[in-house]
Amino acid sequence: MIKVTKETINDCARNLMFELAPGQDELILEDFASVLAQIDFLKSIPGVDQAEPMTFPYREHQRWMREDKPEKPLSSKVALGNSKTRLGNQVKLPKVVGNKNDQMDE
Amino acid sequence: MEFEPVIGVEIHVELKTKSKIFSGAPCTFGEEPNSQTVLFDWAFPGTLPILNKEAVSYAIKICTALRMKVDHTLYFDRKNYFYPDLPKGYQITQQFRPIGTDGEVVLQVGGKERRIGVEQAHLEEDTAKQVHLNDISLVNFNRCGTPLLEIVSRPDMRSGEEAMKYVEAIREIVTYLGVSDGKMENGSMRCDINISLRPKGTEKFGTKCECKNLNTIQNIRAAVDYEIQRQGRILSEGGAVEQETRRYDEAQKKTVLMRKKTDAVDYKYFREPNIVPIDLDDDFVYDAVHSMNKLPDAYRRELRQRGLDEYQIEELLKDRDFVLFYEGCLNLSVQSPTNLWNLLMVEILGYLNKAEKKLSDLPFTKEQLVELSDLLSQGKINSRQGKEVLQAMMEEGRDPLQVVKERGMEQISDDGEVEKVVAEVLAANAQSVADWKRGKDRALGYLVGQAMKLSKGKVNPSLAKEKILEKIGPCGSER
Repeated sequence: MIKVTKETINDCARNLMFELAPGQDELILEDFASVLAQIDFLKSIPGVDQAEPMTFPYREHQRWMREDKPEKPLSSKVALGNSKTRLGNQVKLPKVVGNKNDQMDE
Repeated sequence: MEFEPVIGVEIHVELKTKSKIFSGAPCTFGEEPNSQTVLFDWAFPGTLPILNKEAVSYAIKICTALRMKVDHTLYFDRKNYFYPDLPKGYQITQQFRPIGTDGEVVLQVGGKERRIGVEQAHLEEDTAKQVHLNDISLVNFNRCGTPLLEIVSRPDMRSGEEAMKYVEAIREIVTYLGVSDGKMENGSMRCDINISLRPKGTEKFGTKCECKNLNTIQNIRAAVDYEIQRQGRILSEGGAVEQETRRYDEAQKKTVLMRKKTDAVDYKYFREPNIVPIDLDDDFVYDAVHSMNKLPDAYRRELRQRGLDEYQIEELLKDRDFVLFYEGCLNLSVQSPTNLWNLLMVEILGYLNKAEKKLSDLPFTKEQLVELSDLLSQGKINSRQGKEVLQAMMEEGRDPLQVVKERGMEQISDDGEVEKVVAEVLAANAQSVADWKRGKDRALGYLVGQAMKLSKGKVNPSLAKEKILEKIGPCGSER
């Protein structure tokens, strides 16, 4: 198990391109401590290391799939109702990739 | 030191379903931004993914065409990442159990057969389209959730030409199957190419660079060739290739750095808990496979048997509508597949391009085109007259036999009638006959021309030539 330290938190933040305010790394570290304590508790349950991880409570499969019939879409006005920043009918965001002078599609 | 390129290609094929893969929102192109979504596409709480049957059917067809094993149980996984192009914060994909595995594409490169392995094909959802401007990014969620099949090759390609032909082959297959537009310029087929070099004769892969933004088939070849040269130069000078994502800049005709890959991104994949594994009914898989359209290679084999050459075949295969039209005419027992090809791929294609029309706009039937082709094959009209008749068919929807009759075009191909014309021509042109006998070979063309003139263009020129030669003997016989 990786030991989570302030350095780990700061490395992750840098990789995710988050800027942490002073002291935030300690707060996150405290949160991690309770998560890790919970994991330690789970590991202490006898035989837990023998259990396969499960996504579904039962090993059941199904056969049904949806027919390819389009439904009525939301209007752009409704769809963008929760977007605070827009340009025309598009969601406007601070630029998230690339160099300042690039113009590119993704 | 001599280096060997190692190239692998990942292709995202947008499947041409009517609705999205996990929601009922319509799949369209070019609609008003953010007008083709439903609540699921915006990750509203309480909405759940429901798999589109047609997307699965299309994927099975592609996998079968690529000779892959098809998994009859579908599992989906979550690829977790934080980015504005997917509001859920993860993409639903098939990381651990792809629908197709272990296929191959057979290419002809430099006259030799090359088998390129296809490692896997997996279903997933497309992301929203972003446009990045100077200071802002604009997001349009219409594309978000469009079904994609990602096809991952093995690193079996060794040149830009092979990579280009591989992508072209996949594009041809998906368009012939009718499961995707395969339009790279519209983004309905997108590819990323991994390129590395290693010393020739060694097995270990070198450091690879990923090349993106390849929106035409030609750009694939250009980008790969450029990257091979760039990496070769670095290695020859004793340097080390850095793992990077690059894009092809069409204006500069070179790849340029997008970002360096320092840490491998961890997407924390896990099984999608909102989709219970789905067992595909045998009947469903059978129906998908047995409703597949004929593939390009099957057409190639058939067209070769009909006597078309490789150039004619490849030109025809560029557009499936033309192949279907041509095949329909062949099924009407056309006498000369080559004459038919000339009419369709030279005259008709030229007319349609100029008039900006589609094949379906033509106002005549396949039967009528076959009639015209057969008139030419039987020598009843000459090629100039054939063009005139075709023009009347294309522009006025006229029947070829009627046009020929009305305009008195039908050629004289009856032996007796041709011999009469020839006798008259030879009698009136004794000097040309004498010239021929003294060795002037141009005299024959003149005599045939006179026969055409005398018959007002109706005599069959090859028959007239044959009859003239019968009468005047070999060139230079009295030299």
